[in-house]
Parts: sequence; structure tokens; C-alpha cells
Amino acid sequence: MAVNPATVREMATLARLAVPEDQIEALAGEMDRILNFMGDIARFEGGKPEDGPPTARRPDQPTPTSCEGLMPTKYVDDAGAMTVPPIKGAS
Amino acid sequence: MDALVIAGAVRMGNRSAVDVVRGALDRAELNKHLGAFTILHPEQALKRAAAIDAAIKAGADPGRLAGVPIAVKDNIAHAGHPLTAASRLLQGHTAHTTATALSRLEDQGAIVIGRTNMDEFGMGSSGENSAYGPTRNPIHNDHVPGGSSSGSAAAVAAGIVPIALGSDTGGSVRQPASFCGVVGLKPSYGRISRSGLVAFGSSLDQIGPITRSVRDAAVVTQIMSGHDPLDSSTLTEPMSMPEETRGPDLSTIRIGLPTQCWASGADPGVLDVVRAAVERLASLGADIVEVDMPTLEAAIPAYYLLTAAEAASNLSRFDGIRFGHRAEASDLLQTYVQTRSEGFGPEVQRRILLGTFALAEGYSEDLYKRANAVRVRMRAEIDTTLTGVDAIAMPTAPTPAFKLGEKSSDPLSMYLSDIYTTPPSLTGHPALSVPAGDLNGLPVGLQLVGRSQDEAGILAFGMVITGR
Repeated sequence: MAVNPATVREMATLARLAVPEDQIEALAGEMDRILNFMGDIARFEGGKPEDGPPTARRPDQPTPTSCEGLMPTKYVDDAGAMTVPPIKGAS
Repeated sequence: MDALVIAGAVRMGNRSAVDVVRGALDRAELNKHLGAFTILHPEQALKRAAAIDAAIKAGADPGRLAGVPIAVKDNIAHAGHPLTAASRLLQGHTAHTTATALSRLEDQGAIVIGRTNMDEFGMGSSGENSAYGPTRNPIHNDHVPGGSSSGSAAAVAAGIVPIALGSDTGGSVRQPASFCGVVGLKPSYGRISRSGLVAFGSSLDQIGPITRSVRDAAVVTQIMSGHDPLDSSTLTEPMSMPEETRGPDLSTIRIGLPTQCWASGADPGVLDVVRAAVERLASLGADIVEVDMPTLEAAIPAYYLLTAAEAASNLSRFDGIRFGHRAEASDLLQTYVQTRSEGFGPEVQRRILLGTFALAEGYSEDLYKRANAVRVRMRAEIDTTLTGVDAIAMPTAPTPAFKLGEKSSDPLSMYLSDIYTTPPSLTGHPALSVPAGDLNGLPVGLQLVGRSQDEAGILAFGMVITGR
């Protein structure tokens, strides 16, 4: 299980953390050491993950948050008033 | 003085709650150098004490803990008071509700004098990972008090309060209790409501008491226990008291000593002290037998994988929008990133990254699932072992309290100090740490692990060992 600086950068992006560039190398080494120790867990359950149904998973890639389609594109009109969505059932 | 003795004197009118609370506040001030408290509430505490004295004068009974001053770990909510979990990220955050466990103690007359220091979000075994600075061990000030409930253990050990609340995810009540020479109980998972506790590893987190006597721990746990509609994982069965289940005759009792604990590289002096304490049970007729528990060795990897994964998820809510600190940034995403990077300390960030890795597709090699598989196997192993013995005895920690700064640059070495406390956390069994003796003037704790939901059993053995 090798953790390199690129892995740390990617995990930091997923975790919404900014790791200073001058600490990345040291952190990668530290995480590698810890995760190698933790990887020893395979010894205790026959080296196979717990049996279970196969689960379809999407690729774990960070994407920018988008509110498009959720909010009106312009919610303050030209007069400076807020646009309020219509209330269902109201006349 | 024990809490029950104080409450008895207050209820009888022999001591005033105001005097008791004033004494506790004075001792807190005298022991300021320990860094045990993040904040004290002298005015509110004295006001509440006066109300209890007035109620007693009027013939009312304020409850089993009338006038008893208590301290509360800074990750347990108390309405109207700061709730920071010793993190910069929650600076300025005030709790809007009171944790169920705490409100049950207040309903019985307990008085909160202040909030205690801790490792940030419960992540640490030394009390050094706090935005408020480290807590010091009251017995040797240049040593750590253990963690993460560092301030709670220090406050009880220094005699400031007879009861403090901690939270225990992998030993955070028992290990500091051991390092400070006091009693700490992690109840069965579900015994005490987690409502109002800042989540770290939700499938393991439990609130637990740190006290000077085992009897106090039993009473406090019984008061806090019981079903809570705000936490669907709480048990519905009532908790028994130890004296209801067992007297001092131990002739039918078997205590198991796991072979692995005596071969795991613990300090030989610690093992000698623990064995001598177990012999006290043998002298009263208990049968001491060796038991084989091979999965105990997997506890540290399983625990750190599962809790890091749960922490990465639980702590994702802290983004600067709803709680505490918010960084000034150019856009929403940068607000999240800067807030979290400025707010979380190094250990919390390390565990979030490890947890993110453990859950990440393509990297983790199914580490999370493997850890869960080990957890299931460990639970079965402890259950099976406890069909043959009444309790499992082992050291609470492999060493006595170490020096401040001794392990702070080596996280893996720090994690290994939880080797004995993590198994019952993973499996949900109750576990009690009692003072067993000392090694070179530093306290050593004995941990007793009991059958699921049988706190009364291990508390009874704890009373025999400590005599209180």
C-alpha cells in the first residue's frame, strides 16, 4: 500500500483540506507507515474482504459543486426585489 | 470525598451545596496550572447550588446527587454554554441543547462547575491535541494525563470534583483514568444516550463517568442510562447496581487473563502490578484462568481504520457554514477548504485523510470492509470467552503515563497505547478501569471487560479490588 504525495493531494481535495505543499512529502511518508501497519489486518480474516453482495460504485472523483438548476438564475429582479417561488396550490 | 458522601451530607442539611461548590471552584483555581478546564461557570454553579439549598430547607429532595459538583468534557452539550470539542473550528459555538446524559444528572441535583479540556474531537491518547494547550497529569505535572478525556481525569484526580463526564471511543475514559489513578467506566454500547455528544466514531462513541470510587461510577451510570427517543441505539433494559448482583464471596467466579496481553510488549512492571491486583480477586476465591484471544492483536488496525472512516464522514459537517469558525474566502468551496484547514488541528486532519483513504474507491483495498469483518470476529471471540469466564482482566494501558511531548511526533506509537482499550470499544462490551497500584510513583490501571450489558458484574469486581 503505497501512499505518495499525489495520493495525499487527492485525499486532501476529497476531504476539503488544504495541505501546505512543504508538508505533503512528510505526510505521505507518515500515512504510508500507518496504512501499512493497518493493512496487517488482512492477516486476521484470511486476507479476503467480508463476503457481501457486489456493490456498484461510481468512480471517486471530486467534482465542483453546482447549484445550477436548483435555484433561479436571477433571484433579485431589476427593482432589487427578491423572486419568491410560487406556493403550490396558492391562487 | 466521594459524590455519594457529599450528596448525603447535603440532603441531610449537614453541608450546604453552596459551600461544596465554592470549595470545588477554589480547588479549580488552585489547580489552574493543570489546564484541566476550558471554562468555569462560577456564577451559574453557585446560583444553582443556592437553589438546591433552598429546596432542601423547604423539605424537597433535589435528588441522589444533590449539591455534587461535576465537570463535563467539552464535547458534551450543555445548553447556553460553549461547545468546542477543544477545536479552533468550534470557537464561538454555543450549545442550544443539553445532552440527555447530562440533563439526567442535573435532574438528580448535580451541579456543573465547568467544561474540561480534551484532545480535539476526542482524537488523542495524551491530552496534548487541544486548541487550549495540553492538560498536565496531577500526580506528575511533566507527564500526560492520558486522553482524550484528559481534563475530566485530571479534575477528578486533583480532587476538584468527585465526578466528571468523559466520552470513550477507543479508551478515552479508561486510559486517562488509568494514567491519573482514578476510576473510569465505558458502559455497553447503547447504555447511555449519545444525544448531545459531538460525534467522532458513532458506532463506538459512549459517554462514561470518571470518578474516585467504583460505587460513584455505578450510581452515575445508572442515572444516565436508559432509553432515549433522541438516540435510537439506546438500550431499553435498566442497568442493575453491583450490590444487587454479587457479594464479596467470589468462590464461583472465574476471571480470564488473555495470553496475548502478557506477550504483547507491555511494560513488565505494569503487568506485575495488574497481576497482583487480579490476585486480590483470587484471594477471595475467584479462579484465575488464561484465555486465548488471538484477534486482540488486530484491534488497533481495525479501530483506527473504522474510526478514521467514521470521523471523516462525521466531521464533514464542519465547513464554516453552520458552526463556529468561518474563514474569509473568495468562494464557497474555498470557504469550506480554508475553514477546515485553519480550524482542524494536525491530528484531526491526519485522521480525516486516513479515513478518506480508507473509504476511497481504487485506493483502500477494501480496508473498511476488512476492518468490519475483524470486528465481527472479535465480538464473537469475546462473547465466547465470556461464556467460560465472568470477566476478562488486562492492563488498561501498556505503560504508565508518559512524559509530555514524548510521543507527539510519532502518531503510530501514540496509537499503540490504545492496544488494550480498543477491543471492548469495537465490540460494545462494558469495560472498567480501576487503580491497581503504581509503578515508579505513576498509577497503573487494571481493565475489566464484562459480558454485554453486565456493567454490574465488572463494577462489583472493581469494588472488591479497590475497596470502594
